[in-house]
Amino acid sequence: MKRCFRGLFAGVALVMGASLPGLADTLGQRPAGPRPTLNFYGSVGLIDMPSAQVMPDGEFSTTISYFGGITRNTLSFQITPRLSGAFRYAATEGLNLAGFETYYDRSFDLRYQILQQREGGWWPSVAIGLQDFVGTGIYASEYIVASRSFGSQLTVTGGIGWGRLGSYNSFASPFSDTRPAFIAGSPGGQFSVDQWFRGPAAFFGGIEWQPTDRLGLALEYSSDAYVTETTQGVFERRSPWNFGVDYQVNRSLRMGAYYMYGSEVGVNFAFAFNPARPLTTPTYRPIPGPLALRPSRGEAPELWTTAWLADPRARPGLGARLSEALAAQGQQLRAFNLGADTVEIRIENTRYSAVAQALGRSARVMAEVLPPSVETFQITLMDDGLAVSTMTIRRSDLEALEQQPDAAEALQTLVGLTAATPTREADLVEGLYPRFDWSLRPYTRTSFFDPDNPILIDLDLRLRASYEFRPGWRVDGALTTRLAGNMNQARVSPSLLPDVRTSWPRYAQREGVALETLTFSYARSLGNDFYGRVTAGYLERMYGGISTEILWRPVTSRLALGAEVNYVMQRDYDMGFGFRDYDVVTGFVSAYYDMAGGYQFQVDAGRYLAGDWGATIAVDREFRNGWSVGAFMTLTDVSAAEFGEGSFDKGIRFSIPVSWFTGQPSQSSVGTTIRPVTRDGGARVNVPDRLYDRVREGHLGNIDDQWARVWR
Amino acid sequence: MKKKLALLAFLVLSSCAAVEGLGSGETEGSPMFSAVRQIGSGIFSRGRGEAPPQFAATRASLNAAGITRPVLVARLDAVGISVGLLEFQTPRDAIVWRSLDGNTITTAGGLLRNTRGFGTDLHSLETAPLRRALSNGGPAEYSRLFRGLDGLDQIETHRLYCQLQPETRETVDVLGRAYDTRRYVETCRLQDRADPVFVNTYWQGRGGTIWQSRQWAGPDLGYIDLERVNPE
Repeated sequence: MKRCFRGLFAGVALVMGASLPGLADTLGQRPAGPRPTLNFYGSVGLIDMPSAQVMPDGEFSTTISYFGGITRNTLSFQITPRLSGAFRYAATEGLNLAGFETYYDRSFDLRYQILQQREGGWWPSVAIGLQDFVGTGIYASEYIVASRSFGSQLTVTGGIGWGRLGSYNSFASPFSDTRPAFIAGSPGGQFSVDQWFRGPAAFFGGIEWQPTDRLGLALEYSSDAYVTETTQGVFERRSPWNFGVDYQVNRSLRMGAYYMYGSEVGVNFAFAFNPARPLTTPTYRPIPGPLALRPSRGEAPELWTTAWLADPRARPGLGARLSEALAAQGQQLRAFNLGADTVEIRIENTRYSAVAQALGRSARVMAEVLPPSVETFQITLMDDGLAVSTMTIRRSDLEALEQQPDAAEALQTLVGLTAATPTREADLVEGLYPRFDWSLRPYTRTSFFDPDNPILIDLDLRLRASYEFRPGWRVDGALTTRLAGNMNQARVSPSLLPDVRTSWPRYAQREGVALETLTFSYARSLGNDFYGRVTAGYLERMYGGISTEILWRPVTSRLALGAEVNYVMQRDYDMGFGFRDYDVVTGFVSAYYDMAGGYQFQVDAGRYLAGDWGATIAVDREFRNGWSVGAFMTLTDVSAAEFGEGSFDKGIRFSIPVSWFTGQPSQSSVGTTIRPVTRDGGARVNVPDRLYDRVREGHLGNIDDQWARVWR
Repeated sequence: MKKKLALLAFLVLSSCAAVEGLGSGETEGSPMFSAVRQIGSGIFSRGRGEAPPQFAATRASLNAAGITRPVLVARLDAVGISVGLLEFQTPRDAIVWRSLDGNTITTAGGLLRNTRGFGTDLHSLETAPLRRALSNGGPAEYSRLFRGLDGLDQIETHRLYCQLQPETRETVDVLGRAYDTRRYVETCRLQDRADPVFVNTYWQGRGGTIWQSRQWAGPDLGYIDLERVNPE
């Protein structure tokens, strides 16, 4: 065991220490050129100014910076190789605006690299950026910036900024003289199109030099006059020049210290992660043994008999062996159908995040257990009893390909995938239903940006139980109790709408054991690529009622369409069985599109909890190993004034598979949804087990994306 | 039997997930399976915290253990492993060599094609072009396709451009048995890159058997030294 730990430490050291950022490819080759660094705004840049470089695709970073009483926490994401986005929570001490002692502010950025410097090319990289383009506007600015790297150590940057970045030593107002001023205390949240690239513009720029793999030096000229801050005496700006040093501690962490604006010492910590750079390399243990090969038919024809099928012991005997061997691979056998030539198994995958890996492991089990006469394997994936898809694979293809260099690609062209038929009663594993299952786990709930407590967090304990009568017919329930935390200190903010979500702190104040959910549900495939679901009961912490959903998605389609109608009542604050005097019919029609490259689009249009009508647009980038980062916004017929702070509902969300941290197979993930503010407009009821994700999991796009793991 | 067990212990490869390594894919009836299974349980009860077992068998001890099928001895300096693997399967043109805890190395004509269970494994490296070049015996230029799984679990393919150079005749010693061989050096590069990705060495006997080799198994595992032992 000690040895294992030593190995683990060695592995961690390798990840954390030895190698530096930039994604090495599978041959261990790294990209050329200086490494990009994140500035005080969490954007790629020098110190306080942006540059035109980009982070590696998919890089997910968080920065914490501080100087002169200003703290900025920024979450940024390289959405595509050229497009990046950021969400920032900043606190300015002593900035007394709209009656706050410390001014807290949330803001979003977007930037796009228009030109990219090529190896050996002459042109610099050029980027265009919008800073704080949908917040209250304190950091609002726009810029066009160019950066040119010379060799692998030196980068020179120059740009033009507007708004904040055009406030010092401006040379002109090239596009328009007028720019609406920042108004403290306004609800904000609108796209401030009317101010982009307007008003005075100024030059900024700087030089970065990276003499070693880890060390960097930066000098910049800032075009931000910090007018609001210096007027209020937050800090004194004596010089436009900033300079300092940064150090890449390991692959994830970079630290920098700077002398800023002639008066302040600033520090910046940047933590950068990448979905493609797992913290622990996956081991795929237990590794699959070599595929069991059948004796040749010519040499041992007697073993290829089909007489075994007539033996009454065949079904119980093979069923038991299949169940046991599949269970060792984290696959639960639910039903199976034996034929002399074709055998179908129906499984629930409880271990692997990649469906292809679950299918591959199951096929190996079939090759190990089933008599030689069985040539065709059919594996049907089930999700909580809902049969989703059936993969058909020839055993002789498996045998021929396993050790070939192109085994994965070659097999991909030979498997068939069809929509699953509903599970037949006669195929069920004898004595399996009804099934009871339970779990007891701690979990955390968080809420951010309360002015009194920027981070509210509760540690809760959840007892979950489920009872499955027959595949697809279920009762699920969860009891929770709070172990520790400060969520009960959350404030209820007033609302002009029915308090469908702003009342959440009242639920958080509940002590003792609460009934989180208790639902009866039925889901099944309806044939012709349709799936249906009915769920009734206590759906979530705040609502109970009945929810019905229908989804259309062909197994090879990238498009899915769905419709959902819910009648829900607001639950009592004590989270018992009772309801408050608020009920509403909500419903949506939804379109989902699974774009190549892992981008997932979703549009839901319909009626929301407060009775408002509108639509939600969501875009998520899903990586093949299960990482997902996305953003959403909802516009409804509620006006910005009625909505309150933020003007409309929006947020970002991310989910990181646990296996990315541990290297061990797991279907768990960690993540959260961050909304700048939770209000009542554009709010939806959280119905458990919505169909789309359950069905998509077993469909072609998703299986194809993860196909490389079929043999692992 | 006890002696056989004790001896086979030397063939063991170090790894954390020892016994689980005997996952699916066995042919239950095969004598190899039962041997491996019995041996496995005996071996992994050893004391904790010991150094990884190193391959230390001799030709005589293999004989005494009744091992008659070929053994592949693999040394992976990068991970401090030395292990003997038994010939387990011969699908098509390949040989799957298996250690007692279930890790495998697949070769084709003695050329490394993939590894399974050694950490960041070699997903696959094409062997056919090199095999043709070796059988022709002379200097040759050809390309080999490398496939690796990246951090997102997708297959990344690189074409490597290789040169094979025959060198001197040498006598190599494999577990006390001398073989007359010719040494070949293979240098593989990416297009437009001066530094080679790897430089492999093969010692090929008169009948075409690769008795000894030093072959690259990806950026993480580095080079594996392989020796083929044919017990008497």
